[in-house]
This record gives sequence, C-alpha cells and structure tokens, in this order.
Amino acid sequence: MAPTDRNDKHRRVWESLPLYANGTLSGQETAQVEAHIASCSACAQELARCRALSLAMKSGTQDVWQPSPRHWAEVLAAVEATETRPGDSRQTLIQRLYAWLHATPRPVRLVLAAQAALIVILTGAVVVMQPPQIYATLSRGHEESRAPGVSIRMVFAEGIAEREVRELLQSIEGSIIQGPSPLGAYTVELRMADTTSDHVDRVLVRIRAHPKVRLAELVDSRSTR
Amino acid sequence: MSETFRELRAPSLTPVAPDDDLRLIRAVAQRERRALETLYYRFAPRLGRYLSRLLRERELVEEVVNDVMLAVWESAGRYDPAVSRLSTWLFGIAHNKALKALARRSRQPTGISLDPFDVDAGRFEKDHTAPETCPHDPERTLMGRELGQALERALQDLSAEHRAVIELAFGQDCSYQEIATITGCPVNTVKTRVFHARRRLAQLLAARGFDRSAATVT
Repeated sequence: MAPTDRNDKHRRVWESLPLYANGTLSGQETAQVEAHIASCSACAQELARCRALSLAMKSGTQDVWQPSPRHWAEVLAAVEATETRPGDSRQTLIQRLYAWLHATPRPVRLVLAAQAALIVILTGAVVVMQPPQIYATLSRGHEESRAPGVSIRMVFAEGIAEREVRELLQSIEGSIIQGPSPLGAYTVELRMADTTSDHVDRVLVRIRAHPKVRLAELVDSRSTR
Repeated sequence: MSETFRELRAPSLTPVAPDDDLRLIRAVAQRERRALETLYYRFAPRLGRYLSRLLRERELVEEVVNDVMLAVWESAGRYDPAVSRLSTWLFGIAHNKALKALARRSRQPTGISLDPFDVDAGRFEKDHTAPETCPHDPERTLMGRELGQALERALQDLSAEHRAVIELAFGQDCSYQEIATITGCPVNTVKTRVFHARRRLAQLLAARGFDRSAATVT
C-alpha cells in the first residue's frame, strides 16, 4: 500500500473510532476498523481513549439537570397557557387536522389524496355532462315554433299527472310545441281565434290559477299589435 | 454479511422509530397530555444531560427544556419516522433551542465572551467544584473518575459547537449521520468538527496532566 493510501486509511479509521466505540458503525466499517487497529498501536490507543472518554462523559462529575414533578408542572402550565389563548380555537382545529394528516402513514395519505382527486373529477363530470333524455317528451319535437298564435312558457309543479296536463291544455286549446327544457319549461302554443290582449290575459290568469302550474309567461303574442 | 447482523451493528443507520416511541409521539400529536408527560420523563434525562453540557447553567437548561417540550407539543404532528428516530428529532429541537438561548445570553452585557461559536470561548460558567467535594460514583472506574474531573474542566474550554459534538458522539452514542441531523450540518462538517474537538480536547487534557500521549493524525 502506498504511503498516501496508508495515511488515508489511517485517517478514515481514526475518524471512525468514536463510532466504533459507541457501536454505530456498519458491519463493513466495523470489520475495516478491527482489521486496522490489529496492526496500528496508535489507533488502538486512541480507541482506548475514546472508550474512556465515553465512560467519563456518561458518568460526569457535573451537577446534571434532572426532570422533576415540579418542573413537569411548569411545563404543563405552559402547555395549558398555549391551549387557552383567545382566538386560537379555530387555529387549534386546523392544527389538529394538520397533526392528524401528518400522523397518518404516507401510503394512506397518498391513497386519500387519490380518492379525493377522483371525487373532484367525477363531480365535475356530472355537473358538466347533460343528463340523457330517457323519457319521450310531450312536445311534438318541433324546433322553435313558426306557426301563428300565442306561445306561453309554462313550468308545471312536481307530481302533476299526465292527465292533468292534458286536461289543462285542452281547456286552453293549447299544445306543447317545445320542451321540456333543462329547467323543466314547456312552450305551449294556444290555438285560439281570439288573440286580443284581453283574451290572452284572461287565458293567462286561468292558467296561473291552476294549482299545479308554477310558471306561465307569454313568449310571443300577436295580440299586442 | 446478513442484513440482520448489519442492523444489529448499526441501528442508527436506518432511521427507524421504535414502535413505542412512534405511538407516544402520535398520542402527543392528538393532544394527550399524559403522553407528553411520558415523553418528558422518558427523554428529559438525556436531553438534560446534553443541555447541561452545552449550556452549563441550570436555570438556562430548565428554560430550554421548557421550550423543547412546548415545541414538541406544537409540532408533534410534523414528526416523520422515515426521516429520523424520535430521539434524534428531539435532540435537534433541543440543539436549536440551546443555541438560541446562548445567543440571547451573549447579547447581555456581562463582560464575558459568550459567543457560542468562538473556538477558544471563555467560560460561560466556571465549575469550581473541588475534586474532594464531588459525590462518589461507585459505577466509575478510578481512571474514569480522574478523567471525569479533568474532562469537565477541559469541556468548559471548548466552544459550544465542539461541546455539542463531543457530547453527542461520546455521551449520547450518536452516529455522524444523527449528529448531522441534530446540528443541521452536513456529515463531512460533523466529521471535521469532531476531529478538531477531539484534538482540542486531547490538548486540554494533556495540559491538565492527563493522558500526555494524545494521538494525532499525520
């Protein structure tokens, strides 16, 4: 071994002696130290000094501070003081959530985060996507009506029966030409000969008086001319 | 070499918090005062010894232990067993609190150099306990007792930095990695610091007539 290599090895072992003495070296490092000190009296002496130093450090002649019930009472009082500071209740809750989160093992945290992300994505998809129209509507499937007459936008109450809608439409000589919209509104065209504003108003009053009509608004009227 | 043998020889290389310590700190994070009390009595003796060596003033040690317990109460939820053992984490908090306490004291006009980073720092507090008045410790060998008396005086002449690494390496059986974590320094810095601290300590002990043949690295 070249002198420089020998010096480097000696220095590395010398640096490691405190750890060899306190048992914190790895298995390989331990073997290297033991192999070196077997042939190096300087390091063997230094190891003996390290062990003596460790023994003396752990014994000590100094008056070392020790915990006591009196001091613990002071610590507890200080802890209580931090817990009862005004305006801290919300912060304590946040701190508790933070502490709970960090007390959770990392893999569990990752799973929870993935689940939360999935929930957010699915919720967004539900909001954005239009619900499929499963049922056939009452309208004739027309586009915006171009036929002459008065059109009324109507919203029926929940639970109205098909029979009730039919009877109402028959009573006002109306038929659904469009709907339902996403908000449940129907466009009803009135096939009446008299399209004066007075007559239209009377019809509207009658429609609005129906207990199961929530909304009835004129969409287009030629009677206003 | 088997993994089991490696772990036995170097438990500190793998930062594994014993299950009991982990349950304890998690209970503290849940604001259980009884758990904090258990933690106090379990770790305060070692923390007290470390801080006594570092601070050398009883009142200051008590103040810093207070600060450490409060910090643990506030931040128990942030302890990560994958990073370090619980003891390493606690010592890291204690080390920081101690340095801040020393810095606060150094700003007081006492006329004494209290710079914690002064390599040849003057005494923060003299320990004038005469050898014949020291309590007898039957556990120590004669060599250990003689060394202990000379050691206490020599340690007073080291800087706080050097006292810290000497106490952690020789008094607390920490690895260089753990000392690096506690002191917030790179491992190579710790090695250098320990190197200089050992050499300085050997010189001081030799000056007090103890162990003249201090080993040096050429």
